[in-house]
Formats: sequence, C-alpha cells, structure tokens
Amino acid sequence: MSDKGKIFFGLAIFVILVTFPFWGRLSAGDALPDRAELEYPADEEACVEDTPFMRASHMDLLNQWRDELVRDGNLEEYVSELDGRTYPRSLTKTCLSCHEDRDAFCTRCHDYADVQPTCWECHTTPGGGV
Amino acid sequence: MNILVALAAVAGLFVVGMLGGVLGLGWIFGVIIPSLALLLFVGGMVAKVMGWSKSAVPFRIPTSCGQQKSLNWIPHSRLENPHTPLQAAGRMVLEVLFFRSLLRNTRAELVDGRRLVYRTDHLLWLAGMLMHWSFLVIVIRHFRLMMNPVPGFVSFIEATDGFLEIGLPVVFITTLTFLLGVSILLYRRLTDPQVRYISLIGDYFPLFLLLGIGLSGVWMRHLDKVDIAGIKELMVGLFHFSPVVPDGISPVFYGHLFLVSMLLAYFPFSKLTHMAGVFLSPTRNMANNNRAVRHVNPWDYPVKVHTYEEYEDELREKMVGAGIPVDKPLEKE
Ligand code: HEC
Ligand code: HEC
Ligand code: HEC
Ligand code: HEM
Repeated sequence: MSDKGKIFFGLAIFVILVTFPFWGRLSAGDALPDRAELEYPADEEACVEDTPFMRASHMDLLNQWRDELVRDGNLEEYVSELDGRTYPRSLTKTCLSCHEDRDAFCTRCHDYADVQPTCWECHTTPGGGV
Repeated sequence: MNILVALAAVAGLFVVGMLGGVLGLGWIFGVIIPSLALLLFVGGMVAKVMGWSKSAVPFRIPTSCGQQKSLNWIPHSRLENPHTPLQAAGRMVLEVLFFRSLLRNTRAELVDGRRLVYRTDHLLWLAGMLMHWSFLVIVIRHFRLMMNPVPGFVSFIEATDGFLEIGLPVVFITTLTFLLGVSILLYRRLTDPQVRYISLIGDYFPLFLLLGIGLSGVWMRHLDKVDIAGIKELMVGLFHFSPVVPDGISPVFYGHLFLVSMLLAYFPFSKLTHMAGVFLSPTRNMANNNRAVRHVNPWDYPVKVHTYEEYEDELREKMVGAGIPVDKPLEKE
C-alpha cells in the first residue's frame, strides 16, 4: 500500500500556495504598470526635503509637524534643511499646495503600496478629492 | 558555544546582506539570491516529500490517548482515537492548526531538592501558537509588497492587524506577538537546563534567524524608514520575470531580504521541514482501525520460487547417474 496519490495532491497544493504572487500576475492581466505613475508639480524643482528622504520618510515629517504644531504649539514655519526655504507645518496648506492633485500623487502611490492613511477623514483636500 | 555560533552566523549573514546593499550589488542580493533561494525552497521541499512518499505505509500505530471504538455503549473518543479516515483528518486539522499535542508537554522539576515532580507546561504551546500564527499573518501582509494590484484579503488582514492605530505608520499586533513568541521560545531554550542540554546549533540558528528577520523588519518600518515604493518595484519585477533594481534602497532592506533568502534556502534541509513532516506523522494521520481493516504488507511482493519439481526436472539425469532417488523416473528414448 502506498499513499503517493494523497501526498502528491498535498504537494500540489503547497506549490500553488507558495507561488501565489506569480499567479496574481495571470489573473491581473498585463495592463497594470509595475510601478506607480506620479504627477509631479510642474513649476517646482524640489520638495520640502531631498527626494530620497521624502520618498522614505514623509510620514515621519508629517508626524513631527503635527506634534510640534498641535502639541507643542510651535507656530513658526519649518525651515528646510535642503535649501533653507520655509514652510508652514501643515498637511493641506503645504503638501497639497504643490502636489495639487492628491489622487494623482499621494493616493496613486499609496494604492500601489497598499497604505490607507486616515488623515483625510478630518483634513480637507483643495478641490475636494476623495 | 552552540548559542554563540548560531548568533554569530545570523549576525554575519545580516552584515553580508547589508554590505551587498552598501556596495550596490542590488542585482545579486535583490534578484539572483532571492530567486535561487525560492527555487531551492520549493524544489527542496518537493524533493524531500517525494522521497518520503516512496516509503511504504507502515502498520497503523495506535499511540492514542482516548477510548478506542468498541462496543456501542462505551463512549468512543473520536478525535483522540479516530476510527475512520474522516476522524483522523479531524485530528490532523487540530494538530496542524492548533498544535494540540503540545498541550501535553510536561516539564520535570526537583521540588525541595529531592522530589521529582512532572507538571504540564503550556508555555511552549502558547509561544508556538504566537510565533507560527503571527508568522503566517506577516507573510500574508507582505504580499502587498509583491503583488500589483494587492488582493483584497491582504488589505483586509492589514487593516485588521493594525486596527489599534497606534503610531505612524501603525504598529501591527502580529509584529509584536511574533517577536514575543520567538523571544519566549529562545528564553525557554536558554533557561530550561534539560532543553538546553539537548539543543544544537540547528535549534538556535532558526530562532536567531527569525528574531533577526523580525527586528530588521521593525527597524525598517518604525525606526529608519525605507523606500517602500522602490522595494515594491523590485519585488513586483521579480515576480513578473522582468526584474528592475531601483536606486536608493536602504542596506537594511538587503539585510532583511538576505536573512529571508537564507531562511528559505535552509528550510528544506533542516528541522524546519516539520512543516511538511507533520502531515506525514504516522501516529497522527492514521486511524486506529487495525481490527477492522486488513493491512496488506506493502513489501509482500510475489516471491520467485524454485520448486522441487523444477529442480528435479533440471537435474534428473545427473541425479539418476549419481544414484540419487527421484520422484519421476527418467523417460526412456
Ligand atoms: C515646494 C513644493 C512642494 C511642497 C510644499 C511639497 N512637495 Fe513633495 N515634491 C515636490 C517636487 C517638485 C517633487 C519632485 C522632486 C524630484 O523630482 O526629485 C516632490 C517629491 C515628493 C515625493 C517623492 C515622490 C517620488 O518621486 O517618489 C514625496 C513622497 C513628496 N514629495 C511628498 C510631499 C509631502 C508629504 C509634502 C508635505 C510635507 C510635500 N511633498 C510638500 C514639491 C513639493
Ligand atoms: C480625528 C481627526 C484627525 C485625523 C484623523 C488626523 N488629523 Fe491632523 N489634525 C486634526 C486637528 C483637529 C488638527 C488641529 C488643527 C489646528 O489646530 O489648526 C490637526 C492638525 C494637523 C497638522 C498641523 C496643522 C495642519 O494644518 O495640518 C498636521 C501636520 C496633521 N494634523 C497631520 C495629520 C496626519 C499626517 C494625519 C494622518 C496620519 C492626520 N493629521 C490625521 C485632526 C485630525
Ligand atoms: C512614492 C510613493 C509615495 C508618495 C508619492 C506618497 N506616499 Fe505617503 N506613504 C508611502 C508609503 C510606502 C507609506 C507607508 C510606509 C510604511 O508602510 O512603512 C506612506 C505612508 C504615509 C503616511 C502614514 C500613514 C500610515 O498609516 O502609515 C502618511 C500620513 C502619508 N504617507 C502621507 C502622504 C501624503 C500627504 C502624500 C502626498 C503629498 C504622500 N504620502 C505621498 C508612499 C508614498
Ligand atoms: C519569512 C518571511 C518574512 C518575515 C517573517 C518578515 C518579517 C517582517 C517583520 C516582522 C516586519 C515588521 C513590520 C511588519 O510586521 O510588517 C517586516 C517588515 C518589512 N519586510 Fe519583511 N519579512 C519577511 C519577508 C520579507 C520579504 C521577502 C521582503 C521583500 C519584499 C520583506 C520586506 C520587508 C519590508 C520592506 C518591511 C518594512 C515594511 C514597512 O515599512 O511597512 N520582508 N518584515
């Protein structure tokens, strides 16, 4: 007596499960880009800080601004370490003044990376994005 | 000694991965090594199980802890002593999902220096459950970094896991329970003299490896942020067979990924194969129905025999010549 049949059935399930990310590709089709296409501000050269820092740590910056303004009552403007420009510590007023279309920038990248910030339940978007 | 070797090995591997990142060897450490590791993992596990599948199914071993099926008025313990394949499957499901046999773990202790006492010890079960389940959830959550678009159940698990909404980015519950589970398992190995006595490098290494993977993950998420979008490009490219290596990915990520690659490559050749082995444990997956179902010995193949008649047919002339009596006389021409 041998249990080869049952064992191969189990193995097949194992292989299908661990190669799951490969199968997702088949069901999704070829239409989807492999990276997020972002729309950058047309008339600006640089972000608040340098781009690699912003890409990785923008949520830290926002968190820090929020703490400084709301908790410590620091109303002065933030001075960029990149070029010395000053910015109000504000989510809507600062970030979205340059990145005007939130859906084509923040949201597009967040959807790509599957992040759902809750900020917009309270904070507004100019032009009323969703 | 075993402990230090295992710890040094994991630390060394992490440094190697980080160095790969620092030196800009993204193609080697981000594409080639992870692909080979995944191949080795899947291929190694399949080869291992195919090897096991060649062995004959053994005679059922009724190591059970409940009343066997008997007369109708004696209550039968279906899960502890299954009689049908379905009941055995029930026992397997509980074993695989809830590690039921670990609930029987005991620990021997000398009380007052001379009285030997055995008591149940559920710490191993608890830490095992914490570690394994958190590991599963973490791996599923990680699909968000490998698949585009992200399947709905991944986002759902992510949202549920982070529902406490503490911190920015939020702290996931399973991140903490995973680290807690691994730490308890390590603590047990280090502090229980009996367990420590039988622990080898191969026991410490996986624990340190998991701890290293978990801590480097926490480092990336909560301490020194990394470029998630770039990392996702790398992973999605890998899974779509069109690899790209974006610039500016932190060396910590390459350290994390290298440790994961080592885990995958090490898996089929270590005690971690218990992942597949548990399904083939004869004492768990076979029903105790020896008295009801005939077990055919699998190596009882038809034996090639040489009967006395054939032997005599072959040698009759020589036997008659030597004066040995034969059953059938020589035929006269
Ligand atoms: C002065 C206008 C300006 C402001 C204010 C601004 N940005 Fe930017 N941001 C830019 C520009 C321009 C770029 C593109 C830089 C480049 O091309 O290297 C950019 C890039 C970025 C990137 C990197 C995108 C990528 O390439 O992956 C992120 C993330 C980002 N910004 C987030 C923010 C956040 C969050 C805020 C608010 C704290 C903010 N920005 C405020 C102009 C701005
Ligand atoms: C429960 C509602 C709520 C949520 C959710 C929320 N905020 Fe706020 N936020 C506030 C309020 C109220 C203030 C105070 C506004 C003031 O004093 O002018 C504030 C102020 C801030 C400020 C400084 C003032 C300004 O104009 O922006 C920053 C920065 C900020 N929040 C960032 C964030 C970020 C980032 C998130 C998402 C992770 C977030 N907030 C989510 C309610 C919220
Ligand atoms: C290049 C891609 C990218 C762009 C563009 C981007 N983000 Fe993010 N953002 C991320 C990623 C990735 C995370 C999650 C990081 C993690 O999981 O460690 C994140 C997290 C956040 C968080 C923390 C939320 C949480 O729950 O973790 C906030 C707040 C945030 N982003 C705000 C913004 C705003 C506002 C903009 C637009 C001005 C923006 N981001 C643009 C990639 C991006
Ligand atoms: C054995 C498999 C793995 C385990 C156990 C593991 C474990 C962890 C843990 C515990 C964290 C902390 C945050 C969290 O819980 O999400 C983390 C974060 C992370 N891991 Fe892994 N990991 C594994 C595989 C991988 C792989 C294959 C990648 C490659 C894409 C990866 C990339 C990352 C990244 C980028 C982060 C930071 C996430 C963030 O900032 O949100 N991990 N990992």
